[in-house]
Order: sequence, then structure tokens, then C-alpha cells
Amino acid sequence: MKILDVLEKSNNNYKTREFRGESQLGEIIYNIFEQYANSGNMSLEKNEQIMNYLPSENMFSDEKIAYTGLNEKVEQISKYFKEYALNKNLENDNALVKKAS
Amino acid sequence: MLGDWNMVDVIRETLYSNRNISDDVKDNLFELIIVFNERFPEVSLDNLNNRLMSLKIEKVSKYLRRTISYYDFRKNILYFNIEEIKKGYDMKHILMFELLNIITSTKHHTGFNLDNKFEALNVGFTEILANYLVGNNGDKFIYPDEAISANLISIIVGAENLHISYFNNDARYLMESFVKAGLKL
Repeated sequence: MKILDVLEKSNNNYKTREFRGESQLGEIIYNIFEQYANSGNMSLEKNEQIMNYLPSENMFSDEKIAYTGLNEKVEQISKYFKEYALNKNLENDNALVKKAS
Repeated sequence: MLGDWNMVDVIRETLYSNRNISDDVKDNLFELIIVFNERFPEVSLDNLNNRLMSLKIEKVSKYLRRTISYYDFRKNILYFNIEEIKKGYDMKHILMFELLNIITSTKHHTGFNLDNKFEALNVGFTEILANYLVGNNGDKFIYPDEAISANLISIIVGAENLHISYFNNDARYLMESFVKAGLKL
């Protein structure tokens, strides 16, 4: 899925979720994240910003629209970022060790 | 940096000459225009001034429009849903949201929403800006899905690129920003 496809999905979610009673937000943010992950432009700084803004189903508990599956998708993204941060730190540590020696 | 106060004076004159709008709405709108101009002094208010000359505000029922508000840029009418107004919305936030739509309207679209290709993203970015300018003290979320998605995209491609594209009605610049960020179109 490419970014224009994701944005089309987002348009559809915007227009129809109230009628359908459910939101595709989880899928949409996961699709956006996939685009970002495949871009080759990931950074720890951007990842941290994104992590701070990831939503949860709790936020929408008073809403009439169901956000089923949102937490699961957010969890997948969080896990990916944590692994990325761990690998990046390992890379940085290895680079420092190499430089020192 | 202060905004363009000469232009703000011109806008005050235009707004208060518009007989279609009640005095209290004029006061509210003008207050928000000042807030906007102080935060974004680089954004031209010429289009806003033109539209304020003949802007109308009308109330509609939920059967015609389900959302709390809607700005029809072709007819230059701002609609409010009378049933929704009672449901705990922050009307200052709603008015700022629609003011942004008025400011960024062209003959064909608002913001970067050319051919309705970026409708949800445009709504989301407008919501982010309205939050930034006046916050949201209401009981209800306004377009949360769109705001969350727009925020993610803003982080990935750079908020300044969305800003430039939005206020210059430049969908091409938006797509170029996607490409520069490594996203596949």
C-alpha cells in the first residue's frame, strides 16, 4: 500500500465511520507507519515523537464509534520502535568501541 | 514578531460592515483573527478579507448536515448544526477551525485538498492548527482520527512542509514532501 492509498483509506474512514459505527484508525496509522518504516528515513528522534502521540482505545471509550483493534496496532508499532531503538543503540555502542580501539 | 496590523484594521472594517453576521459573532471572529495573525503573521489575510465582505452564517438541522459545522467555500456560507451545538463542543475551537477553512479557501478547495484527494488529511491538519491556536475545552473530540493521522504524517514529512502546502493551497508541494520523506506515492 502506498501513501496515496492510505490517504484514500483515511478519506473513506472520515466519510463513513459514523454511519458504519466503527473506525479504521488502527489500520490507518499502521499503514502510515509501514510507509515510514520502508522510507529509509527512520530516526530515534522521530520515533520518540511518534510514540508520544500514539492513541489508545481508552481515549474513545465515550464515543459511539468502535475503535476495535486500535490497541493491537499501536502495540505492533511500539514493539517495532523499541526493537529499532535497541538495535540503533547497539550500533552506536559498537561504533564507539570501534573508534576507541 | 507582530502581525500585519494595517491588514487587521482593514479586516475589522470589512467584518463589521457585513450585515449578514450578528455583532457577537463578529466580536468572536475578530478575536480569533487577531490570535491567528499573531501566531502566523506570514500568512496573507487578503483572501479572508474578500470572503468576510459577504460571508453568511446559517443554522441547519442534523438532517441536512451531521457535523457541528461546515464551511461551503463555493457559496461562502458557514453552517452550524443547531442540535449539535448543545452537545458540549468548545465553540471557540469550532469557530477557529472554520476560520482556518475560510482563510485557506480558493475557488476550488480549501488548504491542500485538491480534488478531494487529501480531504481527511486537510481536516486533520486544520484540527491540529485549531488546537494549537485556541486549544479545545469542549467535552467532545473533533475529528480525532484525522488529527491523529495528520499528526503522524506531520512528524514524518515535517510540519513546516504541511504548513507551507496548506497555506499556499499547494497539493503538489505536499506530494513532493511525501517523496522527499521517502514515501511512495
